[in-house]
Parts: sequence; structure tokens; C-alpha cells
Amino acid sequence: MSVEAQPAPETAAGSNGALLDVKHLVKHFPVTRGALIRRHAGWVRAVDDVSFSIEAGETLGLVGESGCGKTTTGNAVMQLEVPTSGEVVFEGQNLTRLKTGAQRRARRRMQMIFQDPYGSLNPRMSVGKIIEEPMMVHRLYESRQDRRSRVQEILELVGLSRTQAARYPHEFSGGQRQRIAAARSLAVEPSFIVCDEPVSALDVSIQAQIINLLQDLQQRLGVAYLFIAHDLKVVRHISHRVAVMYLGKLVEVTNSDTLYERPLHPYTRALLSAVPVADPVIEAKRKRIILPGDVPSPVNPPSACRFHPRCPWAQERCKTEEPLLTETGDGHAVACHFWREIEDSGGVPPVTVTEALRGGEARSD
Amino acid sequence: MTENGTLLRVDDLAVEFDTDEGVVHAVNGISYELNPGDSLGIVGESGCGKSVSSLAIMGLVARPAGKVSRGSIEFRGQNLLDVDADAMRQIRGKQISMIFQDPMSSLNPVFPVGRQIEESVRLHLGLDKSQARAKAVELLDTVGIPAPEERVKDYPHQLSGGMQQRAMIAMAISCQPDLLIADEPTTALDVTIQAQVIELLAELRRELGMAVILITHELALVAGFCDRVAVMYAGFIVEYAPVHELFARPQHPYTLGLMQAVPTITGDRSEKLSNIPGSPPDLIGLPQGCPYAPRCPFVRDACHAMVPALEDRGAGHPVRCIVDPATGAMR
Repeated sequence: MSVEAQPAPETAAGSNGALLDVKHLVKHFPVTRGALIRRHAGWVRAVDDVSFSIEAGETLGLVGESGCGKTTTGNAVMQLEVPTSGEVVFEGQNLTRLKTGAQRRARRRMQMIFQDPYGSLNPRMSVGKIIEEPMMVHRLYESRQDRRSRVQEILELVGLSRTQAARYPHEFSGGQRQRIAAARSLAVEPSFIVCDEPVSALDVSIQAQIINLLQDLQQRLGVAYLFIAHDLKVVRHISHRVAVMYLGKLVEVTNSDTLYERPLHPYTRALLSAVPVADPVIEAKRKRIILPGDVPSPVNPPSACRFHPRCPWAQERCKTEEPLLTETGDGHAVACHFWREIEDSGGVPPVTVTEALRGGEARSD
Repeated sequence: MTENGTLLRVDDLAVEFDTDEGVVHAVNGISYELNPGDSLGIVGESGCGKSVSSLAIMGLVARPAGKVSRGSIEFRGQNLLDVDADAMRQIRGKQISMIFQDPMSSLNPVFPVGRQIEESVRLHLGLDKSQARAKAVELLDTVGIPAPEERVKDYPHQLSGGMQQRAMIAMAISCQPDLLIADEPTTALDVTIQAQVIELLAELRRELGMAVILITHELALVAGFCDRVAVMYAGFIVEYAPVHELFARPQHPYTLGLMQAVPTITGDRSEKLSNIPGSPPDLIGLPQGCPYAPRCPFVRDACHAMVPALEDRGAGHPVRCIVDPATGAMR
């Protein structure tokens, strides 16, 4: 079997032609109190009504700060967490309705690469075994010989050498381990890979190697990625489209190229302005939108628009009426009542940096 | 502030660690100077010696495995390597203080944050209990923690990561130090919180006139915050320049490589990231020549012979390289 891209026979189109279609995905975790008698005390609304789709061969970036629900979204798409409600339609099959066996078969075509290259590889298995195991689980090749030669092909594909199959994970650097993780995910010829912060544990010079590898693999094999990360620079670089998440909700979805040129949601604007630019001349002139306070707890998220307590443009309506993610044209969607007004005003916040830093209304006395 | 105007002069500092595998040469002779109120950025990847060199200034290199093997650290004209433990304790926290990457493990989990700030002001400033409490509240207010009267009683786990780091900063500035060393102060924080903390550090630096050494792996962070930058690789400073010059005319192949390896928020997405091949060298058996030579696109035979000196070879600032990356010719 060749390593190069080939039309997957079982690729059935989703309802709207997308490879992956996520509809109204919800994942709530129960919060319990008490040691002996566990009482239900509320819900962590980690993912709350999230919808998006991914085309074959496309990369959708999912960006947000810690606790925004991006990792839970990835896990729920993979069915590693059973969604509370909503649908995950992959290659035409609704994964949430499948039984375990059928789900496992469907999941062969979707794989995952994790953040921690030290924790996600079994230290007692040789690299060859690690890559071979998923093939055995899915009974992909008849003979051991075939599997072994396939393992070697894949090792070369991710930039390692054939001879390294006999070595163990601890003999490799962080970047090399992330290559092994990529090799393992490719072993079962997936059409879709969830990459959960795949480069954030790596040094910058190694990050670039892995980003380039993922892009190469996409070009050669046509895999689609859901690329989850907190680093806006990396996400923008690798993704075709970017979805910005805040407290369990998508607040903006747009083309990567228009992300910097035309951010519409106040949170996206703040995120972009917080990213330092490697140019002291630009840095000296830049005006930052400093958000007051911290991300609120997803146990009791703020009413209506969840961003309103930190938003410099917030008005009364934002506290009472939830803005829905709506198309603005050109595949750009935003969840904000006032995006037009904010754009017309030039995007300069009405609150100064110092006021924001001091905690906004909490310190207005 | 000081007799000769220089606040800190680090000269040929080298730090090594004894391990079972051999001697790790973590810092291999670095030198720099800092005037009062200056801010210096030390940039490099993990294992380049940026943190260890700063721990040496604080007298915190773990003994007996680690030791400063040569060089001097002159702070206000006094060599900190000759100072005894008691005197060092007087300097540390009062004249030089430090904040670390992970605020949760730098704060004591069993005491309220207020009490931890009070401890340092009572020790160094001789305040009594109620004065110290008032000072703690004032400091928490300075670093922008809302409702500081309430927050002083909170334990570290009750604060968010950004709040914890601000509490650490409050503690660090409590005695108005002349020098603050910030070791990856925002790496564990989210980007919007990072912006808050960096803005706060810049404001405090202006108000208190303290010098700051910002240690980070992120070049872009240095661009907006520092006056001068030292780029480190394998325990050496490979380039040392005013911030504008470094970004306008980077001269060391490693600095160039770092800049091109990071995607930018404004850049052309269709361009491929240039990556630095291979990985950083093992600090136990460093090769004889330039430590960057095995990864360097400009490498010459001469590079393997010896480590080039850090000097200005017509680039306008000191660079530890014998090749001019603009032309590819030897200097």
C-alpha cells in the first residue's frame, strides 16, 4: 500500500458535504459536594452549544485561553468524552449514536495527537510497537511482515529513520517524540486528526519543525486537522480557518487571512492586541486592549453574552440577551450584538489601559 | 545611585553542575552590565543557561552539585560571590528580588498571601504587625488586585494564575528593590493575562525606577519591554545589542534562525517557517568549536576549531560569530 494520498473509498459526504460536522455540541460536567454522600451541586459548562464543520484536507484552528473548553471540544469530537447533547457527524455517520464496536471502527479514520510528548507514549514499548499497535487493533494488515514494513515507511514519512523503530521513547527528544505521535496517528490512514496543543511543550526552534511536518503531511496525504492551541500566531499560521472560543462558546469563526486584518469580536480584538510583536518600532506605537480581571468560572458563567463583564464595549443588552454566532458574509461569523458599531468606531475601546488593569468597575469607587 | 553608576556587572560568569553523567557546563563565561533603571532581556531556549545565570546572581545555585566555577558578579561595587550567607540574605529580597515562571509553586500554600508579603517587609523594613498588614494591602492594590483588603487573607489556591503572579510581583517589589529578575514571568499565563502582567511590570519599572532583567524564550516579548537584549545559546551569550538594533539587524545565525522560526501574527501565511535543524547540544560534552556550528547554515571549517569571541566585528554590536549572515562571507 502506498503512503501517498489516495481517494478513501469509504469517504461518505456529511449532510452538507463536510468531512466533519459538529452540531450544537454540549458537554457539561457535574460538580459534586460531600465525601460520603455525594450531592449534585451544579454543572461545569465546558462546551455549550458549539457548531462547526471541517472540509476534507482543511485545517480548522480552535483558539482560546485555558479553561475555555477547546480541549473538551476536541475530546468530545473524538468521543473520548461522551457529549451531553449534540451531534458529531463524521464521514456521514453520527458518532454519538453508534455502539462501542461500530464507534471504534468509525474512529479509525480519526486520530489524535496530544500536547505532552512525554506522557502520551508508552515508555515500555519500542517506537515500532507503538506505531504498529493501532494497526493490530484495527486488523489492517494480514502479516506481521506487512505491518513492519509499513511502520518503517511511516517513520520515514515523519522524518525519522527506519532503524529507530527498535528504540524506546526516552531515547528521543521532545520534538522527535511528537514526530512519533504523528507517526502513530498516521498508522491507520486517518482522514482527520485532532491536534491538541501539539507544539506548546516544545522549544521555538523545534516548534517550527513540527508545524512544517504537519503541513507537509496534509499536502501529501490530504488529512484534515482540528488544530487546538492557545498560541494565536501558531494557529493563524497553520489553519485555513480559525474559530475563537471563550467560556464554552464560539465567539468568532473566520478565514485565517482576515483574522488579523478584520477581527470583529471584542475578545478576538483583545487576544490579537495582546500578542507581542517581534518589532520594537511597532511595539512602541501599539495600543493594547487590556482586559480587566480573569476568565470567569464556567460553573456559573455570566448571563447572556459570557464576555460582557470583561468587554470594554459592553452595554445593557449584552447582560440580558445572548448574541448568537451569525454570518456576516464571506464565511465570517461573529457572536456580538455590536460588532458593526465597534468596527465603525475604529475598534478603539472606550476604557483606558490603566482603568482596565485596575479591574474596571470593581475599582471605580 | 551607586558610586560608579553601574548597578550590576557580571563578568565572565561560569556555572557548572556535577552529575552522574559528567559535568554540565550550564553557563560558560557570560558578561553584561546593567545601569540603574535599565532593562535587559535574556533570550534563549530551554537549557541555554538563561535561568541558571540569574540564579547565580541571587546566590541560589543549588549546592553541592552546582557551583560558580569562575567570574564575578558585582552589585553596587560588591562581589556577590564573596558575600557570606547572612549578608546575602539581606540583599536578596531587599535590593535584588526575583519572580519565577510558576507562581503556584513559588508561593507557600499553607499561608495566606498577605502574610507572605508581610514576612518580607517585617524582616527587611522592620515594620510592626499592623504596619506590615497595611503595607501588604497597599502592595496588592499597586499590582492591581481588586478588593485587596479581602484578598490579603486568601490562600494562594484561592487566586487565579494571573492573580498569583501579581501577588508574587507585590512581594518582589515590597522593599523597592534596585533590581528585579523576572524569570519567564508570563509563560504559565494566558495571553491576555500575560499582557496585563507585562503592562504592570513596565509601569512599576517606570514608577519605582528599578532595573529589570527579563528572562524569556519569546523574542517578541523582549521587543516591547527591554532596552538591551542578550541572546543565549548553550551557555554562551551569542549576541548582545540594543533592542532596536537587534531586531533591525540581527547578526548571529541563531538569532536569525529564532526570528524566522516563529510565525508572526501579521506575516504571510503561505510562507513556510524556516526551521533550525537538529536540536540544542548536550551541555556535558560540548564540542570544541562554536556550539551552534552543527545546526548553522553558514558553518565554515574554522567554526569547528574554537568558540569565537563575543566582539564587535563591524556589525555595530558584539556577536559571537565569524560569518556575516548578510553576505555569507567571513568577517
